[in-house]
Amino acid sequence: MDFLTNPFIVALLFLYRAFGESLFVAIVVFTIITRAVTFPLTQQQLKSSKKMQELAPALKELKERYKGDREKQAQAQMVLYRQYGINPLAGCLPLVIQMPILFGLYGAIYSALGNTPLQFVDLHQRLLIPNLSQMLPLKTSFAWLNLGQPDPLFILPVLVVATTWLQMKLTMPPPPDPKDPSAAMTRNMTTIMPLMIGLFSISFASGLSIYWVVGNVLGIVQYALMGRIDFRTMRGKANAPTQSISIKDLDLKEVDAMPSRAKPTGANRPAPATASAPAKSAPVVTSTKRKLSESRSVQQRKSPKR
Amino acid sequence: MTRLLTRRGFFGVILVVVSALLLSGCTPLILPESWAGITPDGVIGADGRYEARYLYIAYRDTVFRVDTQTFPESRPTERFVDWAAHGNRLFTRPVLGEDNLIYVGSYGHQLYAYSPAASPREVNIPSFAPTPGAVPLIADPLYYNGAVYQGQGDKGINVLDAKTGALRTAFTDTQNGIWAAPLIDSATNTLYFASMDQSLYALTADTMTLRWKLPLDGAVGGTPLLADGVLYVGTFNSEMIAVDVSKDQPEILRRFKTKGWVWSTPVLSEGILYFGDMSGAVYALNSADFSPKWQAQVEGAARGRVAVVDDKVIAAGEQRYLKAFNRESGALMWTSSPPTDDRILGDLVVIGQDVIVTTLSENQLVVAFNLATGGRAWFVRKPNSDDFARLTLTPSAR
Repeated sequence: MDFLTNPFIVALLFLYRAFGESLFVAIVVFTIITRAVTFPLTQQQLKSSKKMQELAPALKELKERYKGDREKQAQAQMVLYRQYGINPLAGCLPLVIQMPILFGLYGAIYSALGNTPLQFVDLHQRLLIPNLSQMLPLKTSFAWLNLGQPDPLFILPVLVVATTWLQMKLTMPPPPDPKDPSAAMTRNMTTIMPLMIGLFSISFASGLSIYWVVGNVLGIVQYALMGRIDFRTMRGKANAPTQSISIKDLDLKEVDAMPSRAKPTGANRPAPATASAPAKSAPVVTSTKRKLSESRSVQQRKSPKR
Repeated sequence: MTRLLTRRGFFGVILVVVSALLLSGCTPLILPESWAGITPDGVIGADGRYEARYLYIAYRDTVFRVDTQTFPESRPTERFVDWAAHGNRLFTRPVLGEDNLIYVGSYGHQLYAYSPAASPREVNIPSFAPTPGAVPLIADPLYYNGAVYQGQGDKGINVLDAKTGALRTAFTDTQNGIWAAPLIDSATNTLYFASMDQSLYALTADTMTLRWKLPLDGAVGGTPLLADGVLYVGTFNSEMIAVDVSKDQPEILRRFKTKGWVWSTPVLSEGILYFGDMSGAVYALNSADFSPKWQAQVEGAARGRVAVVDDKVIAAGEQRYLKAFNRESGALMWTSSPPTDDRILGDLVVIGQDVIVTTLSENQLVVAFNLATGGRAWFVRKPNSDDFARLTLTPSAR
C-alpha cells in the first residue's frame, strides 16, 4: 500500500504548509478533496445499490419460482440483469477501487501524525520529497486535542460512532423483506460497525478520528445531494422502491426449458408446488428449506396480491 | 438488541467486541514505540572502547543488567542476565548515577530509579517519584552533580533531585519536545540541548535560565557533540551543522548536506567526524571544514551512533547487518554474520573485542559481534518470567 500512502503523505504535508501549518485544517481539506475525487465511484455505487433494491422483489419472485434449483435461479437472475441492463458487480467495483484508497489515506494520516521514534523512522522512509522534512514534526495541537494522541475527553469517539451509525442508516436502507437473512445482516452491520470503529477510535490518534468524522459527514452530504436521503430509513422502515419490477415481463422460456438439476432423495421430499412454480419443474428441498418455503407460502397467502 | 441476541448474532457480536478490544486496547503494548537503550557501566577510552563489564538495558517492560563476561556452561554464545526489574514501557537509555542508582524514563510519563546494588539478583521496585508532565519521556536522562536532567516529550526539561525525585527546577520555553539527552559543559556551567522545535538551546546549568537560542531549520533527535568550543549537531533537515559556542552568542560555522536525516550523535576522532544518516550513508568529514574524506553505505537507515575503534569505523544498518569500514579509506572490511533477528536502530558499544548492539527482536535483544571478523559472538534475549524466577533465587541455586 506504500505506493498510495507515500504520495498521500506528501499531499497532506503540502496542505499542511498551504494552510498555515494547521494540521486540523489540512486533514479536513485532505478528506474533502479525496471524497470529491472518489465521488463518481461513490455515486456509481449508490446508483447500483438503488437499482439492486428495485430489483429485490423480482429476485424474490425468481427464487420462489425456481425454488430448489440453483442453476435455474442463477440463469433467471442473469436474464433479469440483462433485461434491465444491470451489472451485479457494478455495486462492488467502486467499493473495491475505493478500499485501497481508504487504506492509503489512513496510513498517510497515521504516518504523518507520528510522535514516537519508531513512527519517525517509518515516516523518513515515506517522504518522497526530502525538503518536506523541514516541516517536521507537525504541530499537532488543536483545541483540547493533540492530534497525534487519542482524545482524552472521548468526544471524538462518540462523534465517530454517531456519524458512522447515521451514515450507515441513511446509505444502507433495510431490505424490503425484514425476514430476509440479508436484512438481519444489515441490522447487525449498522449496529456493530459503528461501535467497533468507535472502540478503535478510543486508542487511535485523534487526527484519524477527525478524518473519519469529516468523511462520514461528507458521505451524508453527498448522499443528500443525490436526493437519496430518506429519514424514514433511520427508524428501520424500508424505502419504497421508486420503480417496481416484476418478473411478468421477463422472457424466461429459455430458463424453463432447461432440464431440472434437482434430484429427489430418500431424505428429501419434493416440495409442494407453489402458485408461481412451473408445473413441470419438481424442485427438491431439504427439510429446513421446506419449512422456509412453507412459511413463505403462508406469507404470500397472507400478503395482498400485487 | 433482542434480535441481535440470536445465537449466531450473539457470538458474532462477542467476537467483534473482543477483537476490537484487543486491537484497540493492546495495540500500544504490542507495538514498540522505540528501541532498546544500552549503557555500559564504565567510561569510553581514547581507543573508542568502553572500560566496562556490565551492560544496562531498558526495553518495554523490563530493565536488566548483562554480565558480558559470564555465560551458561552449555551455552557459551549467551550471556547471563544477573539483575532485572519490571517497569512500564521503558524506552530511554538507562543512566547510572551515584549510589548505584539507575534512572530510566518511560512512555508512561514517569522517570524510574532502580537500585540493584543491594544484591545483584534481587528484583527491586521502582522508587522514583513521578515526573510532572503528561507526555512520554523519549530523551535519555542525564545525571549530573546530584540531579537528573530529563527532557520532556512535549516541551522543556525538568531537573529532579537524584535521590528523591523532587522537582528542583525546570525550563519550559521550547516549542516542542526534546528527544535526546542534554549535554553539560562543566567548565562553563552550560547546559546544551537541541529540541524537536528545530532550535539549539544553551542554559545556565544550575539555574536553567536561557542564555541563547539558535534556529537550526530542522528538528533534532540526537545529543550534540561538544569539542573545542564547537557543537556538532545533526538535524532531520538532513544536515550536519557545526556551531561555535565559545562566545557569548552562537555562530553557525558550517553546514554539510547529507542524503538523509542525521539522528545520532557524531563521533570525533583525530580531527575526523564520523556519523551515519537515515539513508544508510556513513560519512567521514574533516571537522575543520566539513570536506568529505570518504563516504560508505550500510543497508537500511544508519540511525544509531557509529563506533570508531582501532582501524575501523563500524556502523549498523537497520536491515540487520553491521559493517566495518577502514577508518582511512572507507573500504569495507567485513559485514556481520548472521543477520540479526530484527531491525537494528540502537547505538553501538564496543567492549574489548565485542561490538554490541540492540535489535527490535526480544529473542536476540542484545547481540555482540567479533570486532575482528564480524562473526556473531553472543546474544541475550529479553528476560522472561523464568529468568525473573531464577534471579530471585539465591546465588548458589542459579
